[in-house]
Amino acid sequence: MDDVEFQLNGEAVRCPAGLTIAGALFHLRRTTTRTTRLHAPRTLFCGMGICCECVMEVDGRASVRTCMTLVRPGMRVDAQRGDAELSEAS
Amino acid sequence: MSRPLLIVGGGPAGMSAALAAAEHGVRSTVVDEGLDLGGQIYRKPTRPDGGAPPHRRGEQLRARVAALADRIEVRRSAAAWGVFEGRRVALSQDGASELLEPQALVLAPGALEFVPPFPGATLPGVMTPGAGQILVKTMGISPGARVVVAGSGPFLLAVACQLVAAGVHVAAVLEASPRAPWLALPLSGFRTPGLLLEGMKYLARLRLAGVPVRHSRMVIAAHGDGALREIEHAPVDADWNPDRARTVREKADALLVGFGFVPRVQLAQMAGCRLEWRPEVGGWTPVRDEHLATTVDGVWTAGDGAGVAGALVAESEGRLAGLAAAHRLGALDAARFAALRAPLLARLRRLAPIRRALDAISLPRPGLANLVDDATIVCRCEDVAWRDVRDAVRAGCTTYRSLKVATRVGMGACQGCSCWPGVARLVAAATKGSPESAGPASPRPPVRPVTLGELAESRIAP
Repeated sequence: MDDVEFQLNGEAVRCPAGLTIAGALFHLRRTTTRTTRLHAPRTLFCGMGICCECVMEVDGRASVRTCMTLVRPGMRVDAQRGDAELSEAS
Repeated sequence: MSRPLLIVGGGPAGMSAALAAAEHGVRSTVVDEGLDLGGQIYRKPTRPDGGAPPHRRGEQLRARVAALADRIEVRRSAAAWGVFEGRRVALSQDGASELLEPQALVLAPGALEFVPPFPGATLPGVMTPGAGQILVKTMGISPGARVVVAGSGPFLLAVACQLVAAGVHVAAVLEASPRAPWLALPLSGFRTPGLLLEGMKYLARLRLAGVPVRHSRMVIAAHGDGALREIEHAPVDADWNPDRARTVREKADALLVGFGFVPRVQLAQMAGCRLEWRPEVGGWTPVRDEHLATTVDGVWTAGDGAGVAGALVAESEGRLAGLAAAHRLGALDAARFAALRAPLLARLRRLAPIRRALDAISLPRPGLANLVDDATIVCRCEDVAWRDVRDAVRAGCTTYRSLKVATRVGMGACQGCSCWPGVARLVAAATKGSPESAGPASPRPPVRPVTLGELAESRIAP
């Protein structure tokens, strides 16, 4: 049952309840969470909040680890590009 | 007002420490970054209509912690991002940071998986076995339509079985070690038949499902345009040097790859704990006395974060650290402490041989340093290529500090946590030295992504 709706890169998408954002991306078969300074696509890697490969902008907050964050209805999730995460995160 | 005992990490070690201390009246706070207690091994499913049933031991420990809620405060989704002056811990939860100042601190942060750099390793679809396990076990999500599990150690088999049980197509398990260490397991494992039986069960299930488990084979590269499409694997010798003439290409949209585990020592380092190089338990570990006290007064470490040894050892170590902290806090007199710790120490001694056998299987071999080419990304956060690190090594930079300055390696959000164990091996190979001489990564707070606004509001000056 895909019963939670949220905004992914400005588009309304649905996934089952109880997924992390990273899990929802795999469910939707859309895996890129961010691009690096060399514009390479990245996504979930360690799955446990260490590597920070899966960070995205969530409800306007930069560098949220999507593997540690559950999808909530109406959430706004956006890909991060280049060094975006560094401007806010450190 | 902080509680007297703070425990960072709510896996088997952290929960056991809190329980042992609570049994003697000590009030504690357990903080964990996860959505619930359990750590990685006892992670609870988050999806109500999918995933696997939770591990029984994890449920028991969680229930016992919940039953002592008057003494054990649990803070979930709470990230410890710095340790100052020994045991003052900066914590971020719900977008706000604060400083906890306990009289005793038990660090039980667990371990992370070791993935050395190889060409294509940063492609979406390449992930750790643990990440794939979390997708399937806690959410019922498949990491891909055609999955290859590769690396070394018994964890690969466990993950492959869980994938198969969930209906995921596992094309192969590639274990870098030869068959021989597996055959050695029964002899050293007879004291803990549970572990041995589990291993046999995994192999039988995979055979039944038609999943080939191929030994002395290693993934050497991943390919794809924007996402994983294909992997290359090759037979390896006893030192894991690949025979590239016999490379095989295989389709895969998910590669779960890991070569054992590395203790997470960032918090211990920031607390000022001295580390020692113990490759047999994963690399750099905090120096500890027989009661698990670190070199910093009032700080103990327990579980995989103090040397990878698995959940059974973690529980006993957690209890021991919890008792030691209770003793320090005056809740347990010396005679009672001695009486209670004796069976724990005996149990830890009994568990040692099986661990040594398991360690021998997954211990990374030098051939792992022969996978990179010039363009291979060795630091994921900062997109640093091997050629840059290699040139810096040739110019005389051979330690974490000097390479970080010269190349930005380990300077990103994870602060070298993911990349440095692999890069240190590459540096060791290039200089014909040991990863020990390259030193550990040296983290600086904040070690978690915390916004400047949150930092400013918290009034914690890192």
